[in-house]
Amino acid sequence: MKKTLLIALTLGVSVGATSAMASNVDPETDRQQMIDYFKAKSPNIKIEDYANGAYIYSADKYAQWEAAEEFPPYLDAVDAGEAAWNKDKAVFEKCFGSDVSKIRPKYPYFDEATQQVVTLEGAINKCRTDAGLKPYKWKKGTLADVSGYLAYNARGQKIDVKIDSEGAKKAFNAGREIYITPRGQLNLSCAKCHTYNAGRLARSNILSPNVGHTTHFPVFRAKWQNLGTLHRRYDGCMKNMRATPFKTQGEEFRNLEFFEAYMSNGLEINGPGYRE
Amino acid sequence: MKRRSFLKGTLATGAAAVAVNAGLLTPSTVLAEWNKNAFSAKKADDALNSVFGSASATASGDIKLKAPAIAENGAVTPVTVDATGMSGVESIAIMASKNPMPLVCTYDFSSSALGYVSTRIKMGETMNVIAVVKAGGKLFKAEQEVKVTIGGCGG
Amino acid sequence: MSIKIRMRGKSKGGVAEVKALIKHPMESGVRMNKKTGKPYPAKFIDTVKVLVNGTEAVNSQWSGAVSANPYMAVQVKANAGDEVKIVLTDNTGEAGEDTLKLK
Repeated sequence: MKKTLLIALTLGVSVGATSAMASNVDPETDRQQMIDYFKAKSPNIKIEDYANGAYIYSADKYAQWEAAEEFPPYLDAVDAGEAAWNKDKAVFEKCFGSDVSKIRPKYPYFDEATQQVVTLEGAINKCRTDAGLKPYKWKKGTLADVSGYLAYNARGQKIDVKIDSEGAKKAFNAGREIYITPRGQLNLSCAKCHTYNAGRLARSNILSPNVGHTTHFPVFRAKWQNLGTLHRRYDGCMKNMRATPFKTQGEEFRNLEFFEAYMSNGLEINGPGYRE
Repeated sequence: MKRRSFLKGTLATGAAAVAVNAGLLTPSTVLAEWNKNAFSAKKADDALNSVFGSASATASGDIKLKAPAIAENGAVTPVTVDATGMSGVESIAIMASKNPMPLVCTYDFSSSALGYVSTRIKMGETMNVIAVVKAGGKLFKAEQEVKVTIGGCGG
Repeated sequence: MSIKIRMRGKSKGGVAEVKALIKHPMESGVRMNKKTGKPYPAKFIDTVKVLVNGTEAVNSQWSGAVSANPYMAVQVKANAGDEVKIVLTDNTGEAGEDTLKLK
C-alpha cells in the first residue's frame, strides 16, 4: 500500500536486518545495554523522562501533550473503572487485595506454576471467570477503564519486573525475539522503528523509544477518544505494518509485554496516559 | 437542524427551563439566539460581519495567540488567546481559516472577566487559526499557521 | 440526562483561571457516516455561560468545530470563597451545570 511504502522510505529502512540465532541473553545485561544505547543516542535526555514517550523528542509536541494532560480527557474513564471495580468489589478484592494502589505494579509477572506470563488485564478477566462472572472484552471498554483506574492509583511507583528463574528468562527471550524479528509485508521489526529509529519521524508521528513503552498504559489516544490496552496498541501497530497481528492476550503478546516491561524497569508508572 | 425558538413561549420545557427555573437566566438572555448566520458563514469575513458588524480588524501584537506549529491531532488542536494585556476587551472570536465554516466560537466578556480563553478546536487540514478581539469598540486580530498532517502509525 | 462538567480553579490576586472539561461528543453534523452515506446528526454544545456569585461574567457561543469532550479555560475576577457556575446547553436541548467554590 502506498501509505505504508512511504513510511518505509522515510525511515530509510533496509530490509536485511534479521537475527540469525534465537535470543538467549541475560536480561539485566540486555537492559543495561539498551539504556546505554539510548543515553548515547540522546545524551541530554534523562532516563526517567522516557516514561513520557515520543514527546521527549519535540518541544512543540511536548507542549501540546502538557496542555492535554493539564485537564486530561481520561478522567471519566478512570471514574468508570472505579465504578466497575466497586460493582464487583468482593470478587476483585479476593483476587487482588483491598489496596488498589498496590495492584498495577505487580504486573506483568512470570507465574512459575503455569510457566506463563500473567498480565494485569489477563488477571482481571481470570478473576472474573473464576468467580463465574462474564469476562470483559480485551482491547477497550470496561477492561481498559478498570486497568486505567488501577494504573492511576499506582502512579509514581516504579516498574519492577522480576526475572528469577529459567522459565522467566525464557519468556523474556521469547518476547525479545518477537521484538527484533522483522515481519509482515514491510519486513519491519519493532526494533527497527522503536530502538534504531526512535525519535525520527514516520510521516508526522515521532517514533517512541521502547524504553518507557509500557509505563503509561492503558492509553487514551486522541484518535480513539477512549482508553485502550497495550495489546490493543500492539494489534493496531502490527496491522499498520501489514503484518498479521498476534492474538490479544495470547502467549506472544504476553511475552512481548514481559520483555518490554522489564526494559522499563526503574521507570515510574504514569498511566493512564494521553497520546495522539 | 431545526433550532428551537425561545420566542414561541417554550420556556416551560427543556434546557432553558432548567436554567430559567434556577433563576440564572432572565428571559432577555435566553432570547439571545445562537448566531446561526455567523456559524454557517463559509467565508471568514462574512462570519466576522455577522458577529461584529465589521470584518476589518487590525493586526495586533498585544494579542498573545498560542497554537502548535504542527498539530499532533487536528481534531484536538489546543488554542489559547490571551488579550489580558489589552484594555476594554469585550469579545474574542476564534476562527479556523480553511474549515468549511470558519467561525469556531465566540466569547463575550463582562467587566468581571478578563480577555482570555483557552480551548481545543478541530482543524481538518493545514490552515491559519485566527483570533479576533473586540476591544474598546475596535477589532484587532492575530493569526498563525498550524500544520495538520496525517500520522504514519495508527492502530 | 444532563451534560457532565468537571471544574477546576484557584484564585490568585483577585483573578481565578477557571478550567472546565465537559463530556460531550460535539458532533458537527458535517461528518459522514460511511455506511449510510448520510451525515451523523449534529449534536454539539452551543451556549456556555460562566457566572461569578450569580452574575454573568462570560457568555460564549460554540459550533461543532470545538473539539469533542471539550476543554475550556477562562479568567474571571474572583476571590477565594466566591462561587463560579458554568451553565451550558446543546443544540438538541440537553443542558448541564456545575458550581465550584474557589479556594
